[in-house]
Amino acid sequence: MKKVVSLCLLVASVQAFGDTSRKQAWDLHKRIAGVPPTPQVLNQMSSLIESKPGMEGLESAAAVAIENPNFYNVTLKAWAKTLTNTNDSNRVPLDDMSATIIGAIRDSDQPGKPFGRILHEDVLYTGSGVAMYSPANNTHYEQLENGGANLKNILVERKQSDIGSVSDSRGIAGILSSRAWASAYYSMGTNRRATFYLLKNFMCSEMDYIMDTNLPDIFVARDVTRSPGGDSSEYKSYCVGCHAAQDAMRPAWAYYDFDATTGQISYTQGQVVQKMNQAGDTFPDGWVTPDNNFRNLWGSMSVHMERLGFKPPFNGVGAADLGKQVARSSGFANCMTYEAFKKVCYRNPAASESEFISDVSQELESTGNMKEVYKKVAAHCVEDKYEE
Amino acid sequence: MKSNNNKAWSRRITSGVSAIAILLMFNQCVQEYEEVQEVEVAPIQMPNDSIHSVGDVGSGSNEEEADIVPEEEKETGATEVARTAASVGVQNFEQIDASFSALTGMSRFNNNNIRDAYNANFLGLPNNNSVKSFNAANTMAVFKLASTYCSELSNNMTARNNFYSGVLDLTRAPSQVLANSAQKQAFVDSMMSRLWGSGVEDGDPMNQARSELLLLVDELLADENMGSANTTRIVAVGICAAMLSSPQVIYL
Repeated sequence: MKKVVSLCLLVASVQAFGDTSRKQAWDLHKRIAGVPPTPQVLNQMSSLIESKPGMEGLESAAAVAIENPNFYNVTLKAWAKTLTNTNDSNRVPLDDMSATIIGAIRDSDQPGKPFGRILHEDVLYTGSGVAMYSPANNTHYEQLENGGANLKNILVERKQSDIGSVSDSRGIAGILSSRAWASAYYSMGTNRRATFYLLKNFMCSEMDYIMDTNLPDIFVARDVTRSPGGDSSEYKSYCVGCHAAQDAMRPAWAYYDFDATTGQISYTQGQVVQKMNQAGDTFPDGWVTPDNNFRNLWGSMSVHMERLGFKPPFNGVGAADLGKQVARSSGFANCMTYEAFKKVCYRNPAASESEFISDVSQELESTGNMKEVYKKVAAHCVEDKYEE
Repeated sequence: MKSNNNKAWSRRITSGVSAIAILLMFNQCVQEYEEVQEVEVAPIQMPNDSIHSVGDVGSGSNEEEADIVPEEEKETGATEVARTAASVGVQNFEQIDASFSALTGMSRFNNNNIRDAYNANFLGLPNNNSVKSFNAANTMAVFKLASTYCSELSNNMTARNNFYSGVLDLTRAPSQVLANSAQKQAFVDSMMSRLWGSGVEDGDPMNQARSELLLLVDELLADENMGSANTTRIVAVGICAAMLSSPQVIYL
C-alpha cells in the first residue's frame, strides 16, 4: 500500500518535468476534446507548438484537437445539454436542441452560418441510421446517442419547415421552437420561464442580477399581484424589478405552448395561448397580451443595457425576432465566450485576462465562429498555465 | 487450484484497493485555498463598441461597464492565486468513458459488459470538471469502470492484440515474458507510453513512479503460477486498471 501511495504522490508531482511542447499538446487536447490524443496527434500538435512559439503554435495545435470527434461528442454535448433543462443537468439525453447547438458550432466557421442563428433561423440538426426524426418524441436523438454516433459527422442541417417540427412555419425560431426547448420552457406555467432561460443560458444573466425597479410596469400582466401579502411596497421595490422587462418581452412567446399529450410543441398563430392572460382577477388593470408584439426594455432603458448589449430595434414580433436580438447582442458573444472559457479552462477568467476575453468576444460578435472561440481560449489557458 | 484462484482474486483486490488509494491520495494532494480573497473581475473594455463605450475608457471612471463574469458567479472569480490552483480539472463521466475508450480501443457502444459497468457506475462518476467536488464515490466508480475496460480489453483478441502489441504477449506465461527486470521494465515503460503519453512526463518523479509500478508488477506476480498465461493477463489487467484510473488520465 505504501508503494502505491508513493506512486500517487510521484505522479501528482510530475508537473515540472517532461517535454513542454508535448505536455502542452497533451493538456490542450484534453481540454478541447476531453480525451488524451493519439500518439500521432500528440506528435503533430507538439510539432506545431514547437514550430510557432506562443499563441500561434498553440492555436494551430488547438485546431487539430478540435477535429477530434470527442470535441462534439463529449465537450460540446456536455455543455449543450445543460441548456436544455431547468436543472442545468448534463445527465439528460441528447435532443433536438442540444444536437442543433453542436451542429451549429461545427458549421459556425462556414460563411453565412454564425452560431447565433440557432436562436432565430429555420434550422434544426438531425442524424441518420436510426429512427426517423419525429416532432412528437425524442427517440431519434436518444438512439443516436445510445448508439455512440459520431456527432461531428452524422449531424445534418435541415429546415424545420421541411421536417414539420412546428405546425405553422411562422412559429419557427431556431432552437426556440425546438421540441426540447418547448418541453422545458413552454410546458405549463406562464411562458415567463422561456424569457428567464433565454437570458440565463444565452446571455449569462440571471433575472435577480438584471432586475431594474425603475422600469415602467405598464406591461406587467394581470396575474401579478400589485400588493403581495397586502404590501404594495413589496411590488414596487422588488417584484416590478423583474416583471417590468420580463413581461414586456413575454409576448414573444404568446402563441407557444407544449402539448404534453401529443408530446409536441404547439403554435397557434394569431391566437394568444390562455396562460398568457390567465388569473385576470389578480390585478384586472394589468396588461393583457393581445398578440406576439414584444418590447425589449432591457435593451432600451434598463440600467443593465450596457452589460446586456442589445442593439436596436428594441421591439419585435415573435420568438424569432427576440432570438435575433439576443444573437446580435454583445451580451450573447460575451456569454458564449465565457461559457467556452469555463469549459476548457475550468475556472473564471481573471482580471488580467479581461482584454483577451474582450478581444475574443468581439471577434465572435463579428464572425459568429464558435470553434475559433474554443480554439483561442484553450490555447490561452494552456499558455497561461505553462507560462512560468 | 482453488487456492491459486483465491490468491489470484486476492491479488486483484489488492490491486484494486491500491489503485483507489492512488486516487484518494491524489485527491488529498490537491491544494485548496480556503480563504481566497475575492477580487472583482475587471470590466471589459470595448472601445469599438459604442454600446459599451461608457465615458473615457481608461479614465478610471466608476461607471458600470460590461463584465463577462455573471454576477451570480463572481464569488468564484479568480484571483491570480486561485487562477493557478483552479487550472486543474477532473474529467466528467463522459470524458472518463471516452478517454478509457480512446486509450484502450474498447467501447461501451459495442461491448455489453462495459456498457453495463458504465450504467451501473453512471451516478458515481464525476458530474463536472470541478476537482473540488471529486470524492471517494467518484474514485470507486472510476476504478470499477477502468477495471472493466481493462478486463474486457484482455478478453477481446483483436483489441488485445492491438493494444498489447509490442507491450506484452498475453498468451505467454510470466516465466517467459515477465521473468526478469528488463522484461518488466519494458512492459511498464510501454504501458506508461501507451496510457500516459509518450514523452509527456519524464524526469526523476516519473522514474520513481516507474519504480513503483515495477514493484506493483512484482506484487501481482508474487505467489502466482509463473507458468500460466492467465497470470500474465492478471498482471496486465491490474497494471492497466491502476494506470487508466490514475490522475494522469482522468485529471485535466
